[in-house]
Amino acid sequence: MLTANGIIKRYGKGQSGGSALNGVDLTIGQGEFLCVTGRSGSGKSTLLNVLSTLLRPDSGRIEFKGRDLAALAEKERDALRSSVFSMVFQMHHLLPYLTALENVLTPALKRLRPIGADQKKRASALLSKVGLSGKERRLPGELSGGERQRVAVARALFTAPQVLFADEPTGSLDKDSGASIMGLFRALNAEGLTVVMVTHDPSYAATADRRIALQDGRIVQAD
Amino acid sequence: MNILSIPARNVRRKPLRALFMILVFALGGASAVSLYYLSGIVGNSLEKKLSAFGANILISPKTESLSVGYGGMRLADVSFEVNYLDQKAATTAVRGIPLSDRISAVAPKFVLLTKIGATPAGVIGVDFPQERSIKSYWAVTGDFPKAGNELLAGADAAKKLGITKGSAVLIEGRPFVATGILAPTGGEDDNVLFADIAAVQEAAGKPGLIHFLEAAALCSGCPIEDITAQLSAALPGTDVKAMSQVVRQRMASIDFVRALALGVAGVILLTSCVMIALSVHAAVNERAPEIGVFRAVGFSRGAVFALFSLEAAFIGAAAGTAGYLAGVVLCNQVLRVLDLAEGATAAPHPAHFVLCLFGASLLSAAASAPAALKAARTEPSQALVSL
Repeated sequence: MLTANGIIKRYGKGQSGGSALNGVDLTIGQGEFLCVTGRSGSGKSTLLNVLSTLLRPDSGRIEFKGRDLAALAEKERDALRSSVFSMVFQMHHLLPYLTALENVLTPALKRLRPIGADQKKRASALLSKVGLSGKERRLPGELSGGERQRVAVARALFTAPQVLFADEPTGSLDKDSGASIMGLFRALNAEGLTVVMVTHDPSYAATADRRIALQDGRIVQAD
Repeated sequence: MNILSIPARNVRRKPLRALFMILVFALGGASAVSLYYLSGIVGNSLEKKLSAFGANILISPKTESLSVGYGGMRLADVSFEVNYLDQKAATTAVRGIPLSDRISAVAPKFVLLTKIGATPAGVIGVDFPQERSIKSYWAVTGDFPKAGNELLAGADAAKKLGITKGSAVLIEGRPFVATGILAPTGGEDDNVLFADIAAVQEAAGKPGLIHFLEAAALCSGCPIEDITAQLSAALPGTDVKAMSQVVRQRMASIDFVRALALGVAGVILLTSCVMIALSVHAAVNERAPEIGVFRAVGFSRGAVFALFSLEAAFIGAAAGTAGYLAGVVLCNQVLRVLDLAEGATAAPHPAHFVLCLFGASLLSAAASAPAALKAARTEPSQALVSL
């Protein structure tokens, strides 16, 4: 489904620069749950950003259903992120001035066309799906950390993506909330959603279908 | 909800900051609006006051005349034919031109050369109310004539003819009473007598006819050439002469007031724009993670640019509304306190309000454009790292 070949991503320029990714080759199958592990600075987040089109690689090829993502125009990359790819971050990144329901609707707010009743219905259903039924009108400040991250997951699911990229989604949560989010991811994966998740936590990584470990921008372990 | 909801909600999220920005921009808008109205009202008032110091357009019948003079001494005008204008037709024509609202006074004249006793004298028939409106500098010992048989004597003419207040004067066999003596003006008015135009026409046997017309035109916002062209068209067979130097001086005064006001308003607005630009720039830095999220969920660079521009436009719209209303109030307060325009006031104008509203929105959006562009160019991955 998603294939990366010889991905190189450098940061900085000249001698002061370095490589965040140093020739990564990777294949992710449809419906797979892949965990990316590694120490801080190993290139995990950079790999996620490159795969999700948030960042262009300096060289290499990323194919998604036969299309080279690295060669896509900016608009096409934007379109991919608003339809087939979605992201969940370590921090929830909810807009503090929008309610939980409105935060879920954020991907649909990029146009002048008003949001329709069907979109609101879908957002409400997603909040129910992540266990936040009845909290649609709450502002992020009125929700717990775990609940905010659930809203962020619901927002990521709003566009019915094919691949969900999660960058340490449990990193800022307590153990129970983290476990709850992991349970949610497992359930989504069981429904057919491809999940690529970066984590530090070996216990969460153990629940994935497959794991890769990065070190100095290279895959050093894969199972 | 749509893309407008995000900037609208964000403005409401930080009301103090929004209020500060609105206040800053409204201050600039209010200054511009009040100065614009003030310059217009004071300019017109100034022009009216200037117009009181003489006419600037002379309308006379076309004549074939030759000025004869030598060695700096003017001897006479040799007229081959003396023409008259019909007073009623001429004044009606002047008042009927498209730019008639710019004509503040029309003063017809009939000149009678006669003898008072044995002394040759000139008697000018005038419409006293119109004459006084273009010669507000006239000062008189006694009273201005009110009745048809009353006259006003120029200072030198009174001396030469021995006329004092209350003197009886015979003009072409008709008895007149001098009600006042004109204080010296240093001009031609000192050497003649002034009487009611109808009475002088009757005395000369030329009822309803005049030699020439003087008009005072307010030329703010219109070139004097347009007025003279319209007058020439309305009064065929006449010479219409604009005393362009006088007009230019008047217009220069008004233009100076306007240019000064616009310059000051421009500087204030520019300062407001700089403050808006700095404020939006700070907001872009502060909201970098938010920009990252917008890009991550598929917002294009254009949509991010629009978000920040729209937010600035909302602030500009609010500031434009507040600034316009405050500007009108401020203008009227200044006019009242400083008594600059003799009771004239500024009234809100719907078209000006709409212009102010959209102008402020556009200006605010334009001022925020560099910051909005920076937001649009932010790499989403970098923006998210700043979280």
